[in-house]
Amino acid sequence: MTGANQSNGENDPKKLWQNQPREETTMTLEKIHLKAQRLRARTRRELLGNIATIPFSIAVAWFGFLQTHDLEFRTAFLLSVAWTVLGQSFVHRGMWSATPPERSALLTGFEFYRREIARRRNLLGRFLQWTLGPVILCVGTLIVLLTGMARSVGKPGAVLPFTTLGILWLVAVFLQRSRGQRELKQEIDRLNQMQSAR
Amino acid sequence: MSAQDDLYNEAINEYGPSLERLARAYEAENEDRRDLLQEIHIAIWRSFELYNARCSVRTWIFRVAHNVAVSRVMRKRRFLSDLASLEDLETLPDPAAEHSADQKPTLDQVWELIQQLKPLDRQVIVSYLEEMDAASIGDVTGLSPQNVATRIHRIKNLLARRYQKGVSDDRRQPKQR
Repeated sequence: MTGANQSNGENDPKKLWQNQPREETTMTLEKIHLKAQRLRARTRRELLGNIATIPFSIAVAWFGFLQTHDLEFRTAFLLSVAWTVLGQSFVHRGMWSATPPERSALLTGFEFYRREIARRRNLLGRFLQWTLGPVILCVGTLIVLLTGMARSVGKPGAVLPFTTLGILWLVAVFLQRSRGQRELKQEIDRLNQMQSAR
Repeated sequence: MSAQDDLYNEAINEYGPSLERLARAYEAENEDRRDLLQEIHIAIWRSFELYNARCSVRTWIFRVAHNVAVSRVMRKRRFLSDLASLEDLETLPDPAAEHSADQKPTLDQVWELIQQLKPLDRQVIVSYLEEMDAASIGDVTGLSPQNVATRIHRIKNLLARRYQKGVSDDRRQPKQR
């Protein structure tokens, strides 16, 4: 693409920009109609993909449930499943609240960007509360249960690798999401500053 | 054909090349760029169902296109900190200092500069490169004319600082072609 600067006005960034080589565009109305339908189907699939934590929580809770008759443990497992299912509905509500592309022209770039950041920050918060929360409860309960069982057979260290791995994973996810939230907050502050100068 | 289809066809006939360039400002890779351009086309076609003529077709489609692209950038990027604002770039060391004397600005360098920027600044610089005036850029971005003017001033400084060296050297030396 560097050959593009061989045209007239080769040193003017505006001319360079406008004279850049074109690609063959093969978009026709028929293709657009078809792709619009496919896009809607893909969005539905993505949303379904996001509920992967539900079978994970159910599987862990079911496994734990079978290992104990203790009412407290069983309650904790059931609670984690209920929390996961309820949480997904909240998380999904946040995802659906995104401005659909056909309405995005009604918003200026500034408003759209700010809403998008606020929505993502909100989603991250919801993720920590409604997705990570039940997973911590579920896996944590399982770890406590397995540790108790390991102690009773005289092998308290047997659960240590699983516990360490679980804790490391949770800390990494938490730190990563927290960093994302912090950055989004900074960006919102920057936009607010820009708005006050508008 | 419906009115929506007619509007879409007219808009694409007139602004199709601008939309291609806009897609390049957001996606460097060919495949990703084609995907983005398709998303933009679909969104523009869908948006014309709601077109109310309160703003020009150009403002309308540029808003849709930028907003679709911003949404995609944010979906793909886990963190925003790897993007810079115009203010950030002004304080960074001048990469032009590393260029050789006969270096001219290239399209790759302009793309590289644009793709470092945060979404809102990217909208301003793309609109500026598309020869839009401050008022039109304000209509698309929602920034005040003063804010747009300040940003354009920064963009001009940045472009001049990065590429003027090559330009001035080029003016002193006769072209060897």
